[in-house]
Amino acid sequence: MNHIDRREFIKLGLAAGSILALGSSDLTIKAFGKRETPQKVLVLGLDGIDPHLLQVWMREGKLPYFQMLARQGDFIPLITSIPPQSPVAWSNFITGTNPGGHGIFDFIHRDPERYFPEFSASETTEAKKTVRIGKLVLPLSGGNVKNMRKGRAFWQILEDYDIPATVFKIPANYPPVATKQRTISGMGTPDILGSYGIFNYYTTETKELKEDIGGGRIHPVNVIANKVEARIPGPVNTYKKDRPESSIEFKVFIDPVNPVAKISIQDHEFILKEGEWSSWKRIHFRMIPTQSVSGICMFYLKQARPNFKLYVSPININPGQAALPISTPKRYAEELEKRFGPFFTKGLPADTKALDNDVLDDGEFLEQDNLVLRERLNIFDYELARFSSGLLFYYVSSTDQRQHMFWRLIDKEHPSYDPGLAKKYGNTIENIYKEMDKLLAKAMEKVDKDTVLIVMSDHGFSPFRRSFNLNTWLKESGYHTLINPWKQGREDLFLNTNWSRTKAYSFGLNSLYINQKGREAEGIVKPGAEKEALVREIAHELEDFRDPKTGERPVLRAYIAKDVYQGPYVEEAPDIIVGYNHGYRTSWAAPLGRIPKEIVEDNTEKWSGDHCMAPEVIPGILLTNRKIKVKSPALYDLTPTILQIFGIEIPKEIIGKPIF
Amino acid sequence: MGKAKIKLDKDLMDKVKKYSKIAGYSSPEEFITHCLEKEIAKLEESNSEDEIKKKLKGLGYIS
Amino acid sequence: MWIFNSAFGKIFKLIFFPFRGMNPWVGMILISFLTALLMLFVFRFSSNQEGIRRVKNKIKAHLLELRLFKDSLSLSFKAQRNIFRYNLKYISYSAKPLLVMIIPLILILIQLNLWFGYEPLVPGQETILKVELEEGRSPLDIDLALEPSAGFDIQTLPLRIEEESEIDWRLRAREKGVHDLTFIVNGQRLTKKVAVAQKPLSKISPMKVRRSFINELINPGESPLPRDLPIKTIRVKYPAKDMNLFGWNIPWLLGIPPWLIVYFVLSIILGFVFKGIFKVEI
Repeated sequence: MNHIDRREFIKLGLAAGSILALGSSDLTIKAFGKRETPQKVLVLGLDGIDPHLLQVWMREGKLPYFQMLARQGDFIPLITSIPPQSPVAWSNFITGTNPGGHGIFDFIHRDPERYFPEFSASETTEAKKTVRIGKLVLPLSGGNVKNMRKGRAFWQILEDYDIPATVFKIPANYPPVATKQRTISGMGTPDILGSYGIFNYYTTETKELKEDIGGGRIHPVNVIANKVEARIPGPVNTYKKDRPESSIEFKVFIDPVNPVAKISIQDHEFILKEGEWSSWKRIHFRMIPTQSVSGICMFYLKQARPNFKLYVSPININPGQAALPISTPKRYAEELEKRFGPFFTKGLPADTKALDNDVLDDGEFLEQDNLVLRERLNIFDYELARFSSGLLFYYVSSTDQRQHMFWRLIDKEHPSYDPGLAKKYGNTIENIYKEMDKLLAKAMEKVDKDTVLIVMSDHGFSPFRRSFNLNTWLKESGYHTLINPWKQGREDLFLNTNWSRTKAYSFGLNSLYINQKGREAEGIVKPGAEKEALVREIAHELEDFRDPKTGERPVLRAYIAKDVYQGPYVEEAPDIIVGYNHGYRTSWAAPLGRIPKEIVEDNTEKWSGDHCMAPEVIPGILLTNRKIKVKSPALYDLTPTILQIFGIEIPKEIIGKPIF
Repeated sequence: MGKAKIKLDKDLMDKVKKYSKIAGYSSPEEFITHCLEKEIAKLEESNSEDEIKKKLKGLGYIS
Repeated sequence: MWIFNSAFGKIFKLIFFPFRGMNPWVGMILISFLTALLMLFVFRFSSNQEGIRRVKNKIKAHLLELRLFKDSLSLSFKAQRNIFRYNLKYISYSAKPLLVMIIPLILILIQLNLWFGYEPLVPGQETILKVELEEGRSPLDIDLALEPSAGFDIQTLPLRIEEESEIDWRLRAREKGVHDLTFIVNGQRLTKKVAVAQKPLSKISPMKVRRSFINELINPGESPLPRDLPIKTIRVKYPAKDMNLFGWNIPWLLGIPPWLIVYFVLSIILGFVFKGIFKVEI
């Protein structure tokens, strides 16, 4: 074992495929609020739980605790955000505002100067000052990871009043904002490469190889003398002049006959049977002798023979030695790691990309997500047991992930519906709702008369059967012009767009931007009356468009940002937020600026349920053990509700109103 | 814009003709131009752009 | 050799017997103390105590000289030369006891590694069992079977690695206790011990080796394997034992395990503390 790794001289940040030194973090803070509060608030954030499905299964008596809670208190659909994407929706809840107040408008924002997509949630900058010694580049100043969400989080306000809070994996809080409260970041937390997750897949089956699959790297390998030698790529080594990719070599020994293999990597040596997952393995990417980046990953031996197939999960940040800030105080993640061992830290932990690309099949994906769920439930028991004052927020991702991937098996109209698979996995979504019922049972057991229990989701779910190529529609409608028409559909990132003749474009999942003069690098539309008119015209036409195949309207509502957002960041908003209809969503190609030929296409992927629609289509859920006094509560109403329970004056930035 | 001629051997040219049709290009020139552009773009594309694209693609919602 | 190992091992068993249930630090302090006593004893009787005392006085005197005459270049130079000379002499005086000590110390270290080097498995924990064959011997040709036991599950079929002449299994500890893994090789029965959830201080033998002086000297925990079988070693992988000091795990230093660092530091400190009481000149 190399224990030099354990030293943390500096923190390492990742940006644009690079590792860099961060200054010592101001996130390491002593303790958290001490006040004993008579009132307590327990919030269960169950991502993507849909009111319709919930109601159906409640009625059928499959969710007794949800039923009981609804009887005791209330159950009502919860108005979600515009657009109803998780980072936006959870930011509404965190800040009590809408995107105009917190500045998160989409998973993906864009840089108008470069017409280039950007992560909306966080920004990483490299060390500005470095010194070069031979081939080494040593950082002198700290780099930085910045949470791009604006507005204060409700637990920061609670902290002002010394009310303790534990916030477990709330989305849209990476890096966790500075607080003394116990928080750990969730969705938005990158893997060790700084990405949304890149798995590695090693196989001898060459026909499986696609040149470039999103979210994964495929490594062709050879089995020579029953042995495979390969490497796991790691972060770019910014300590070296030419910034090479770091990597860890490993060996796999396969039995000549039996379906077992031994994997030997750094100081680990373990045997896997075919179809078996390893436990978490801590690995260390060495940069320079005194510096390394620690990560955790799991191995899955999909097949030993005749073809060798080994899946390695995206390398998660090691919570015991976090290279990037994932918790406040820093030792909170360490404490959990010490008690439970390594756990998933990457934002959306289950590898939907591996399932989409047939690297994992349905059963294998579910096994992985079961590991996620088991970890979550274990930590929940622990947090629930020690919850005695203030607020506990607990988050579950599996509800969202399973609905995304398994909707095709409960929806016979879906292009990816498969009756055989439906028989086997058709109850996956129902099962996760039942799991949540069990989780709720534990929570209700703990809840006393002074505890307000809030069970909520950020949005519901809808089938995603047909995909809408928004940029193609813009092109066909004369708002977007290509340089070479024959190249259509072959380029990402609008590389084939003639900006001098383009009035509008779409980056991200619901965002439409006007190519505005003075804002966009080659903008042509004058701000003011010209732009206003254009925005209304496009919105109108979008809502009028009908899917030639079904006759339905793919766009239910096109929201004009100025009309629906309030707050200091409205100017940064996309000009139109496209609200898709039931069954429709933006296409796979559009968010990163690719322009296929068809306007509407079937969605034949396994990713078959979605929520990036119009908010009317997919409200979330709200169950409480108190009677709700308002008629149609929204996500941002929950924030002032929490503050009110603790008797805190509601800051004027908050646009929501208490629900009790 | 001036045009330059490039020599290709006949077998390859036949293949180019055949596949340009299959792939939906309107002429072999278009096909060759696109192939070359794609290769050059790979060499030219700055690392950071490529990296960002790869990283975003890990997001389940896009491909 | 096994007779010696067995007997020598029993001494440690006896020493540690009352402390098995306690924090391993208790056993560590005790054995460091006993080692310190042994070292003092060896020093006392195998070194020239009078000589050491004299040399040390000389060194002190010259050090004083160095300070007093620091303005005189020639005097201080001379003093330095003398300090160096007496230092050499001091080293030569202490060489003998060190030589006397070295062999018993190595034997002690090998034994202590069995007590402080490894953590027993806990029920539910998985590990690798490794059988290493003679070089060049194919693991596919050998007639070797592993018998099931109540103490652990054999979780995988044998994994045979020809290149390494090795056969591996994955085991999962099930019940507390010291269990026997039983192999049948060419009709002969062999056993290897596996320790599960023992007392905080317990003896763990990770490796069983073939009969040979050196092998057995280094791996004294179990009786040796017979020479007529093609098996070189049988090994169970145990986690390394941490030495935790007020919540801080003592790290490995340059490949030296934590227990060894603690042991050296403690026995040296205790040696110095008690040298006055036993009137030993070090």
